[in-house]
Amino acid sequence: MKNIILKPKIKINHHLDLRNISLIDASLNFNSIFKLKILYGNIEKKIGDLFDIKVEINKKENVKVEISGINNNCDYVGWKWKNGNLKINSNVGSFLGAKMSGGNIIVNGSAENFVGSEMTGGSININKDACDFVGSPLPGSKSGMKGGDIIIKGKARDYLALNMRRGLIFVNSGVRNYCCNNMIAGTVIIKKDIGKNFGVGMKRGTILTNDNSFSKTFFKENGFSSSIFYQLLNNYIIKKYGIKMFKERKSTMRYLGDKNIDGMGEIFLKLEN
Amino acid sequence: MIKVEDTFAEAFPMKVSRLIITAYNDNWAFNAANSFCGFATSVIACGCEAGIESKLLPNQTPDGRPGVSVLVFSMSSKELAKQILNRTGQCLMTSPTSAVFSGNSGEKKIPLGNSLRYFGDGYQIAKMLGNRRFWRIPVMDGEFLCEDFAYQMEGIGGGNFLILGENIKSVLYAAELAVKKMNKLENIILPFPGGIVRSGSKVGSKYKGLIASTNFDYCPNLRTIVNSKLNRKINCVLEIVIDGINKQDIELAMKLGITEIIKSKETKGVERISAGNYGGKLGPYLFKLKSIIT
Repeated sequence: MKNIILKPKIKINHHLDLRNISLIDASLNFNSIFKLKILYGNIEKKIGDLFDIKVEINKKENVKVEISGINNNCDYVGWKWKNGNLKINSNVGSFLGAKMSGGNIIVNGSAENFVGSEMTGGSININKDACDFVGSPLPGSKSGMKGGDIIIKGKARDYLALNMRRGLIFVNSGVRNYCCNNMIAGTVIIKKDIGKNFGVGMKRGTILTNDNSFSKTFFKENGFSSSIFYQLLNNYIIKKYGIKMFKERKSTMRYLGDKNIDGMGEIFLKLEN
Repeated sequence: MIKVEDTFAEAFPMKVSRLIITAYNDNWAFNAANSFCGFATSVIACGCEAGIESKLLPNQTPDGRPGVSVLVFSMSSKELAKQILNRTGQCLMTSPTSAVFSGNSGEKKIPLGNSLRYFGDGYQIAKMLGNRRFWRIPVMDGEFLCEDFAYQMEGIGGGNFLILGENIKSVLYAAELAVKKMNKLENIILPFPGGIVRSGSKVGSKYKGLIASTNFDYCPNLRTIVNSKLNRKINCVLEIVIDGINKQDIELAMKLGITEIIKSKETKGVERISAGNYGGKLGPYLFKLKSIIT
C-alpha cells in the first residue's frame, strides 16, 4: 500500500483544520493528496501549499500517514479516521481522532482537548499528555466515546470520560477534576491522582484506580474483589499495548455507585499492601 | 506383522466450534471442560460430539489463567448452537471460577454470553475489549465471565480406524497406545470414552425408527451367522473415531495412531488395521489407509 509523509513547509502560527487528511486512502495519488483542501486561519488552502508530501509504496496492507513538525494549532487530525495508521511525531491540537471508527493513531507528543471524542472504534496512543474532555461528547452532543481504546502515557486534565458509553481509556499518570462524570458504561484506568468530583452521576461502567480520594458519599464499599474481568483486562492491555496496569500483589476493593442515583458503576481500588 | 487393509474410512462434514475454558487452576479448568464434554460421544443420540483438544498454559488464554481448549461438533448449525448454549449454562457456568471464551473466529455466530447474560437478572455487566464483548454474570463465587458469541467453523466428523486382534488385552493396549499419541495433536478430538469405541455402528436397523445399529460385520459373536469380516483368530475389534477441523489433521492423526501400533513391539495379538466405511455413500471424505501411512 502507501506510506504518506507530510511535513509543513512553514511554521504553523494560526489555527489549522486538518480533518481532510482522513480522506487519504489507497486510491489517492500524489496529485489528489496535493489538492486536498485544508483551512488555515480562515483561508482555504491545498495541503500541498502548506506541506511537503512524500508518497512511498510499501508492501503492507494498510495506508500509513506520518505527520511531523506540526503543533497544537493543528486541530481535527484523525477526524473520522476509519482504517490505516496515522502517526504524528509532534504535539497536536484539539479533536484528535474525534469520531474515529477504526485504525490506529499514535502521537509522539501531547494532544489538546477532545481527544477521541465520540469515537466508536480503533485506538489512540498518546505518548505524553492530553488536555480536557478525553473520550467525551463533542460540544453540543450528549454521548461520549462509544468504543475503541485511548491510551495516554502521561496525564490528562478535566472531564475525562464524560458521558462515556463504551470503550477503554487508560491514563498512566493522573487526571484533574470532574472525570468519569455521568459515565454510562465503558472502562477507565487511572493509575494515579483522580481529582475532585470523580465519578459523579455514574450509571454503569468500570473504573480502576490507585487513588482512594473519590467521595464515599457517591460510592459504597462492596468488599474485596477478585474479578476475572480484571485479569482479562490486564492481559488485554499487556498484550496489545505492552503496559502493566498495577502491581500484581495489590488487593482490590470494589465500590459501587453513584449511589445517589442508584448507579451500578464500579470502582476497583487497588490497595497498597 | 500387523496388516493394514486396503480400505478407507469414510467421513462427513460437520459444524464445529472451539471454546476456551479457563479457571483458577488446571484442575478446575479440566473439571469444567470434562463436565462440558460429558455425554457427547456421538451425534447419533447426544446431539454433539465434544472433547478436550488441548491443555492451555496461562500465556495462551485470554485471561492469563490455566485453561483447556474444547472442540464441539454437530451435524447442523442449529443443533451446535443449542448444545453449546445448554452445556455452557449447565456445565461451565456452574463450575467454580470458570470463564469461557471463543477459541476461533468466523462469520456464523453462536450465542454464548449473549443468551446466558439473562441469568444475571439485571445485574449482568457487558464489557467490550477491542472488538470482543464479554459478559460478567454475578454468581456465588464472584462472577462468571463469558464471551458474547462463539463462532462456527466447518469441520469433518467420522474419521476412523479399526484395530482387530486376538483378544481384548492386546487390542485395548494397542488402542491406548494410539490414543496417547493422537491426543497430542491439535485440531482434532477423539470423542468416545478414553478415545476408543467398541460399539461401532452401521446406518439403519431392522427396527423402524432406529437410525443406527450394531455393525455386525465386526462382531465376533456373530461371525458364523452373518457375512462377517472376521476370521476365527479375531475375537476383538475396537475403533478409534476422529473428528477434526480439516482433512489434513485427521489424516495426520490416523497416520500417527496406526504407525504407533505397527511400530510397537508390545502389540502382539493385533492382527489387522481396518476402517469403517459405507461404500462411499455416507460422506464425501475418504481416508485411504494405505496412502495415509505411506
